[in-house]
Amino acid sequence: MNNRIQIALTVALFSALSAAWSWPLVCDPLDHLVSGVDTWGTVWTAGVAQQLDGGLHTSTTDWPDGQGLRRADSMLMLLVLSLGPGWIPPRLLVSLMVLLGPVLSALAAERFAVEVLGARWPHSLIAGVAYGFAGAAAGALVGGQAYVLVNPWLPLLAWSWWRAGQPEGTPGHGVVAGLSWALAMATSAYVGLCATVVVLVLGADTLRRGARPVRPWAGAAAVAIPAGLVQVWLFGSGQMRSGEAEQTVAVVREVMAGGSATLTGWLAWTPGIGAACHAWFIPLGWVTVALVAFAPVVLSARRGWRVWAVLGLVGVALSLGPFIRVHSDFLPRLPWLLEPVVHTPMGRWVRFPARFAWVGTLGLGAVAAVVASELATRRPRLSGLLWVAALLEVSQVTGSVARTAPVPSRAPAVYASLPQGSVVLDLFPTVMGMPFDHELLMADLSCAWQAEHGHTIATRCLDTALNDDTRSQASDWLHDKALQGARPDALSAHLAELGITTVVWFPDAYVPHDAAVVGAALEAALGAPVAESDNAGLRAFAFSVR
Amino acid sequence: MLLPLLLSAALAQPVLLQVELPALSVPVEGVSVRLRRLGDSELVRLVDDGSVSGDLPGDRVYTALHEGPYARLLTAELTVDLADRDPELLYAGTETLETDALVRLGWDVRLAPEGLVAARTAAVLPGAGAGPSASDPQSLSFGWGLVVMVWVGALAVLHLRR
Repeated sequence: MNNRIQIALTVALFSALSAAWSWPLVCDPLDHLVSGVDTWGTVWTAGVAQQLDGGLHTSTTDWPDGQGLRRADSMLMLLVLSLGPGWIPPRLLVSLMVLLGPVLSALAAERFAVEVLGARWPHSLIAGVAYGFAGAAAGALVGGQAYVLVNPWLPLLAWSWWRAGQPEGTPGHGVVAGLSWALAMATSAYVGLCATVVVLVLGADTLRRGARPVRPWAGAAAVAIPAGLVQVWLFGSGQMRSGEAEQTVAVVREVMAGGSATLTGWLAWTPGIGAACHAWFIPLGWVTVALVAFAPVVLSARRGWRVWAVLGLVGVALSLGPFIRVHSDFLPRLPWLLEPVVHTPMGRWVRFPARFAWVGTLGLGAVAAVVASELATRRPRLSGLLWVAALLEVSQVTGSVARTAPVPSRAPAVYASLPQGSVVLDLFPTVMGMPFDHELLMADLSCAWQAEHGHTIATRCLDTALNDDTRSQASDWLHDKALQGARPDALSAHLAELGITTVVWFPDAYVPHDAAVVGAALEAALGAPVAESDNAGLRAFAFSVR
Repeated sequence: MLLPLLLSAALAQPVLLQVELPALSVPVEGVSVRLRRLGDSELVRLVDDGSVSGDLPGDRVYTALHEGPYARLLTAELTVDLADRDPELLYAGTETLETDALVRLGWDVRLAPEGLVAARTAAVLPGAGAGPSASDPQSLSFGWGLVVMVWVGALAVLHLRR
């Protein structure tokens, strides 16, 4: 079978797998999204990319100042979508990233296994499944970071950086490696960290072999250093997140531990802990694990695979973060690789070490594909089913379908009736104590809906703590006065002073007593609602500020 | 058109309500939860007679299964009615439901010096029952993992013998 047919079949198989993996998103990508903690922020980012004022700033959120976007996680998504036609609904863009991203990523990893390690098709599909659909990819799906799923950069980097270190390496290979590293960094800071791990491990192996590929490496540096400096400058000059400088070592450690993998989490998922711990259960896939486990036996006579196994093991080891935990926290924690990082200023930025599993699935998936290829030389029938098993197991083992659910992504219809130039306060209650995810979700929805309705909102959508934007401060003031029975004209005057023209109120978010009191106060101050809707899974009432 | 319609139908949302009561000296006349979805209010009566799948009768875990249209935000008020007393509202709160899958809402009611108090708690039905238990995915995964390990191990041994 020639190469083109192999690639076409690979794309077809991975496309079918992607549809199954994110089922039933493919049935209705326009109106329903796979909901994760970051899904709605991603929708907003996709939308704001099409509304930039210039200079990475938008005035459509965080009224009245607007907000900078220099600390957006994915500069690449911002820049690419800002070049787009602008009429594609942001929620559809996010759906397309979920559906097509893993296909591209998996294809890159599959080709990497073929080109670098000599894996043979169709066994090379195992490498694609491991990288594009298991491990950190499953975590990104469940967590709602759709832009991270579009990640062919690590396989491209691994291929080009490895070639750059070979005797036949050229400055061109170095330039491609530098560009891949820069694109990884622009995709997400964590993907950038993963790319840096790839560079360090493969670079160390090159030096260990006695090679000194000065010109290829200079080519890489010529691209990567300026790109990295721009990224650092953008991040450093962005708005400071409230409270980020105040975290104690203990808080940094616990936050990092919460975003780390566990030993059982590499192998299976559980519903309760997946939900409670932001889903950092990132199974690697049993076919991959089993094949890698027997690699020293099967590949004993073969050279060149150990560095990729080491790369993969480094990735999964880093994903454990500051502790080795067997399963959640009921067994003692053993200090681990990232514990020293907790004590450094960088510690507070590395909050999700589980994402290092991207490196793990890249390296281990490629080795697994080679082991399967080798086994197939002797037992083609029995071994030939392994890649089929890898395709079939991934949705079940990662729980991609069971851990996600499609929810309505369209904004409440109430916004469509507001006049152009409206400044909207989305009003929902403050949540006290730890379960702030409830309030965070509402703030994220407020932002995602802004991407669709286009009106200016008081909600801050990036670099945000929940208590210091106009939305939260005006909401707290309004709730306080409403629940105390303050004079109606005081409420309307304060809102007008802030420049708010419309309050969109969500009564379902309140306990009944407070909903009745706040609703009555809004009607007394602002008159009857000018519009209402009950799509999007909740009721919304719009009040015009007189 | 058909697929979105089918998907909308699939977004009907089941909610399993579970309330565990302490041993009480007075008979329990009723346990109910008032649910509000999209502004519609419905009083759901919970029972402990085993009529809800997976419930064990008489174990003081009152249960009900309620279905309604998908609601992102759901308000729940728990009331317990004891003989010779006025019904007591023990809990009122909102739930965020970013899923159309079965949602379990559980409350643990305890007898404190000032009377009954209720707290929301993560809840599962006792025993495996007929439905999927919380650990099924993990059990399945490890079972499958064992099969794959044996499969690849056997292939590796055969590979070595040649």
